[in-house]
Parts: sequence; structure tokens; C-alpha cells
Amino acid sequence: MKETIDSLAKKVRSDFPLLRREISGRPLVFLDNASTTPKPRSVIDAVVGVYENATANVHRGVHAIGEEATRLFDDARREVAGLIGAQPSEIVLVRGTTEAINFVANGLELGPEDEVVFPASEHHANWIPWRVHGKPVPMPIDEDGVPQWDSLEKLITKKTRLVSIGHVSNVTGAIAPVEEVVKIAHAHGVPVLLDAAQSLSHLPIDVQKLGIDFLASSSHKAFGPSGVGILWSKKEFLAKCPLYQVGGGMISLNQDIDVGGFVPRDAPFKFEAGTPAIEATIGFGAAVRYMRQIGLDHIREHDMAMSRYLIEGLAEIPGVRVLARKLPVEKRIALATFVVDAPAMTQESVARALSDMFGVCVSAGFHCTHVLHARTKLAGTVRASPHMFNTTEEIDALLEGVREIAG
Amino acid sequence: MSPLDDVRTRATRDEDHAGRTLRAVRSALTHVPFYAKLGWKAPEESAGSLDEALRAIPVLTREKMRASLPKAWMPEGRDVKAELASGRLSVVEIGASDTRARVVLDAAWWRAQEARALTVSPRIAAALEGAYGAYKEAVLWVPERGTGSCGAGDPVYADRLEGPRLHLNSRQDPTFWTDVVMDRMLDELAQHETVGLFADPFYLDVLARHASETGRKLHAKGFVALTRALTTARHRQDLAHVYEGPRLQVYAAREAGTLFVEADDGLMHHAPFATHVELLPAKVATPGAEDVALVVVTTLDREVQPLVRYVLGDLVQVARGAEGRFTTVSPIRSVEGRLEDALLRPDGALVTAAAVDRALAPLGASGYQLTQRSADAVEVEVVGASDDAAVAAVRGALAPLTGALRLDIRSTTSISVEPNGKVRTCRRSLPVALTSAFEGITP
Repeated sequence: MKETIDSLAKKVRSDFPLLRREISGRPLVFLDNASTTPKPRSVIDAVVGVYENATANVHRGVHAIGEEATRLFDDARREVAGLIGAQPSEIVLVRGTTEAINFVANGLELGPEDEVVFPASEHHANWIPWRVHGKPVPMPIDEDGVPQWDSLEKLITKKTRLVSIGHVSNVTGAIAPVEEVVKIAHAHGVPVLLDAAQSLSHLPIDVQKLGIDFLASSSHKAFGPSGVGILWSKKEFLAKCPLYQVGGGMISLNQDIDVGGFVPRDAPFKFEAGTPAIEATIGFGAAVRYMRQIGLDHIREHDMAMSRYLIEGLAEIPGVRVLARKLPVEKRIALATFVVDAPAMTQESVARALSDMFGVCVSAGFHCTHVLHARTKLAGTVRASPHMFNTTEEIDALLEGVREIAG
Repeated sequence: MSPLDDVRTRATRDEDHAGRTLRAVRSALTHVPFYAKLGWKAPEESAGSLDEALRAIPVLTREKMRASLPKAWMPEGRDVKAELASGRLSVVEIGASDTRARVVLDAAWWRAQEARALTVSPRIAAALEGAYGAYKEAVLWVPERGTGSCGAGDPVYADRLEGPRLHLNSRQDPTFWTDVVMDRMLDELAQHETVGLFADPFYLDVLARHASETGRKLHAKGFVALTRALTTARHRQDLAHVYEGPRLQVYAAREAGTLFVEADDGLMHHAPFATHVELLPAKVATPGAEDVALVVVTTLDREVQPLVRYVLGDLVQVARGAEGRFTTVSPIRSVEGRLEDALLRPDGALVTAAAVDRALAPLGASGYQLTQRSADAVEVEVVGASDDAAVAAVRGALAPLTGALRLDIRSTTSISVEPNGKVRTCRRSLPVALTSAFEGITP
């Protein structure tokens, strides 16, 4: 197990400049990848490269630099499409997962009685849109925040317009049974949206194989820059989906007021009004190239070994409760959310102590899942989320810190 | 237990202040694991005067405190878990980002020392004893009853009550307070029948300006006490528009207690029994301020997390020649701002934030900020200094303080705020060695 973890970690660590940092004289242990990942040198170079060599607007400039920027930008979309088994024309570039889900919520033109079924444990990005568009139908969760998937069938009614699920929970790390969900939902004629924010850099994804209807994800949790993400959908939906923002760049023809209306371009461009996040998108493409070079299967192998090492290590510490600790590694990613019994210390305070005293960076609080925490009666949790560059030695540093705080 | 229970404990002169301090230091260094780990030696019985004994001990910085867990601060033999679990103690975070630290807070200790310390002011003492009706107070500072980093909703009025104390704000950053929120605060001040309002002057300034713009007044029947930060001339001016009652200065810190309270002689007197304060004189010149000293605190009756020679980080003007009413610690004339904000001249002189404020106050600028990034220059931003005459006036006001420092003065429309929403009028990014700038600190 250790060798599986450390061999990949040691191979890729030097690619990440951030990991050379120290905090108060201690080496940085970055275990907050579920919030955002550090960026490898190739992504940084790609972004800086745009600024240094190819600063121009895309899909506009006819000069050499403009064409070069456009090529880099379009290549990025192709890279991302390739990563999930999609066509570039099915990829709408958005600001991130949240915007992608809002895009679908808007595009489905839900009425107040139109129901959307989703696990109550979902991130606010996959909760709040359904409070605003349509009628939310949260799926029950167990005492550890894991969805009770066997309740899905009963929750789907004639009014259900969408089933929307997180591929991987940002709190428990549990992997959703996507294909089974799709099977049930499609049997009722209901489409499925997959929030892949947490899974894009951890699991191989093939939208065709999964059979889903929508996929939303972000660049910044997959080694790319923040400010860009994707909505993938089938061409049929994109063709009929209403425009939610309009302006420059998405127009095929704008006729004068006494002549006629305007003609938008085809998808995906008709949804991308205004100058896009050019540098971030090109960086996203570089991030995808980087992950593909490493190999998603190798990343997953590291992930499962790391999951076991992390969960078992935390679970052995008296005074520590790990959510969903019994989930087998095949059904989770390497992410552990836990509560440290350190009286009078909030979980945020625990996380700050880990940073101040051990150089370990983790998240704490509610992780944008107020309902999960309310239903599981937790006043906050700590979340450690390693990735492929993390070593067993770093997990040992976390465990030492937690042991010290809980002791 | 409410603060009212402690009112009877009025401040009196501590005739055994030196002895009490030495015993507290010996106890802390002998029984508290944090100090044992540092290897600090307790002063011998024959250590000489209090000052001599203390100056043989290193100083405690927030950086050192930061890298510790609550349990390291519990005296040996105490059941850490049980005491923390009982709710009698809590762990609170003080400061922000790189100056943050965890503090173990004994709420009963805090209330007792605070209530006693406040009676240093005859005005507050009278208020506590009911001179303005049943004593009720409101606080407006870094929220203790607010939302965490993840958000969890805003507490309602009832949830912000702590006995007679009302926590007015639940969101730290006042740049995001809406008109509705500030109207609610003003309403609640009246609804609560507030006698005393304790406020961070920056936070209060935001509320005072809102009150002024909406034609309202601050409701506090007894007094407004400004605490926890430097009060600028602008703050005082804005407050005067909406509050005509007494305005007092209280110098307190969450981790150390209530140190000095303004009395009827206009000086801030040291509060007895809870702390000893060393006012370490500056070795360097301090233009625009006299008898400047660094505040170093030793707690006397704080059993959990006792502080020994803790560098609070503030500079004050000592009231030379004035006698302390309650202890041997000299009264102070003013709080001069944080050491980290004082400008550092090439000749080693320190210019305090308060000295800068006094120099610029006559110009009446609505905002300004001095930023020192290099040893020889200071960037000066002044709101509305848009012509040569205004720039010359700023230069003229600052030149006597800043000496050889080059002043790069420019006009601006607003001053940038810190992550906590406050404005620092002076900022310095160059280090100052404590040992070379102040007496009484051994390397």
C-alpha cells in the first residue's frame, strides 16, 4: 500500500511548485485538494505563456497572435472533451460547476411544481439551484451523510424533471452509483445531471458509458486555474436550450432593428457571450493533458491505496470519528471528513492548529453542506483530501497532529 | 453568572502588586507545560526588584503562542478534557491570518477581571451600580457570536444576548454591513436599553456614519467606551455627531484582560489584581509622541493560559510623573497603535500611528493611509488631496515626523481595507528588532 502511494507521489511531486513551500519552518502538507488543487508547472507555464507570447482575444483577431490564442483556446476545449469521452461541440465553457448546474436549471425551464431529486448531502451548488428553480426533493441520507440510494425509485414521480447527483461527495468521498441511478431515472424518462467537481481528477469518466444527460465540472479542482469549468450535454439539449446570457461572440448575425432579429451561433458558442476566460481555459487544457500523461488509472490506483491508509489511520485515533469510514475504497475517493473530540475547540480551530503546528492544510466547517451537517447533527467537521502527490509521510504528519490535538 | 454579580468587586489599590506578580510568574513557569517546554527558569526569591526579575525572563510573542495547543496551557494536575468539556473554558481565535493565535478563555475569569477593571472609571462604576437604570451593555467588536468561515446563518437577537450583554454584530467585516443591518443595530441599542456601549472604534465609526446619514443617534444612557484599537481623530469626530454622552477609552485584549481604563483625570489607569504591565521604554526617538513604551503583560490570576511577559504589540504614551491609582504601573496617556504599524525612519526612530494621526488631524481628510515598504520611503494616500496645495499641506504636516523618509504623496478616492474590513492608517512591512528598539528585552 505504502509503495503504491509513494511511488506515484514521489514521481509527480516536483511538478508542483507550491509543495516546496514551508509554513512556519515546516514543510507544507497540502491536504485540501477537495477545495482546490495545486497547479503543476505545465499549467503555470501554459498560463504564463499566454501572457508572454499569445495575449490576444479569441475568435476575433485575424492577426498571428489572435490566431495562435484561438488555436490554444480551442485545443483546450478539445482536450477537456477528450477526457470525458465527449465531442468539443458538446462542451460549454462556463465559470465552474456552479454555473454549469445553474445553466441546466435555467435551461430546463422548470416551473414551481417541477421536481428535482438529489441527495440531501449535496454541496450547495447542487442544492440551492433547485430551491430557486423547480421544487427540491432531497433524498434521505444516513447518519454519516451517505445517500440512501435505494430510496430513489420512490422519490421519482410524474412531476420529476431531473435527478441531479454528485459523482463524488465532497464530504464523505463516497462515489455515487451513477449507472444504477441513470437506469432508474431513465426508466421513468427523467434525465440525470452529474456534478463531477470532485471526480474529474480522481476517476476515469466516460459520459457515454455512464449514460448521463448532463455533466458539470470545474478546472480548479483538477489542477487547472480557477474561473473556468464545463457543462457537457447532448447536442439535442444544447440546440433547444434557451439562451441565458447574450452579447458579443455568440452572434452569427445581428440585423438592424427595422430589418429583423439576431441569429445566434451554434452551440456551444451561442452560450459563451463575451470574452471568455482565455488564460484559464488554456491552463485547463494543460491540466487535462497533464492528468492524461500521468494516467487516470494510475491516479485511481494511488487514490484507493491512499484512501485505505488515510481512513484506517484516522479511525485508529481515539476521539476521532470518520464519516462513512466503512465504505470500501472501491466506493470512495481518498477523502476523509472527521470530527475530533477536542473539547471546547471547534473543528475550525482544530484545522487551524493543524496548520499552525504541523504545517498541515485541511478544510474545516460545513464544506457548503449545511443540510448534511444539520441532519447528521454535526456542528462542523474537518476534511482531509489528499491527491496523487501526497505521500504516506504526509498522512503520518496529519495523523500525528490529530493524535496530538485529540490526546 | 452575569457581569452584575461582580460589580461589588470594585477596584482597590493592590499593596502587594509586586509580590503577587512574582508569585504568578513562578507559578506559571513551574506548573504550566508550555513554559516547561520553553525551558524558562522561574525567578529566585533573591531575584531583586520586580523589574530586575522580569527582565531576566525572555518575552513571549504571539508567534510562540500560536504554535501551541490549549492543553499545553493547563497547569499540571488539571483535567484538561473535563474542564474544557464542562464549558467553563473555551478556545477562541484572536487576531487575523498571520497574527492569529488560539486562546483558552475562562469566561468567569474574564467577566470578573473586566467588571472590576471597569470600575477604575467612576463613570462606569456608577453605571454598573445602577446610576442610569438597570445596567445593560452592548458590544460592537470582532463578533463572538457570529458565523464561521462556512456560514451558518445569522444569530437572532435572543441568540446574541449574554446576560445583560448584547452582541450587536454577527458579521465581522463592516464593509458588508447593509443599511438594514445597521438600522437593526441602532434599533437594538434602544430596544436593549443600553447603558454602556463597548466598541471597536473602527466598527463604531461605520455605524456612526450610517446613523449620521440617516439622522439617527446612538442610544447609550451611560457612556460609550472605545476599546481594542487605535481611535483616530476622525473616529472621535464622527462619533460626536451622533452621540453627546461621555466617551471613554478602555484598553483591553482578549488574551490578556482589561489593562487600562480611562478615569476622571483623563488618564488611563492600570486595573489591579489581574495583570502586571511592563511599559518598556523605547530606546529610539519617537517624534510626535512622548515617553513611548511597548506594552508587555503578565497575568496574575489567570490560572489557565497564564501569560508571562507577553508582548501585546501595542505602543502607548506613558503619563510620566503621574501615579498609578491602583498599582505601581504608571498610567498611560494614550494608546499609540501597534508596533507593526509604526513607521521606521532610517535613523531608527519610530513614528507611531497615533502621532501621524495627530499630525494630519488638522487637515480634516476623510481618510488616509501611510504604507512603508522600503527603508527610505513612505507612500502616502490621502482622500481628496487632489491639488498641489493639499499635497503640500500633507507634506508639511508629516515632515517633522518623518525626517529623512521620502514621502510619495498621492490623492485617492478611498482607502483600501484589510481582510477584516478595518482600515490601518499606517502599515509597515519592514521588521523592527524588539531588542534594539526597547529596553528590558534580552536577545
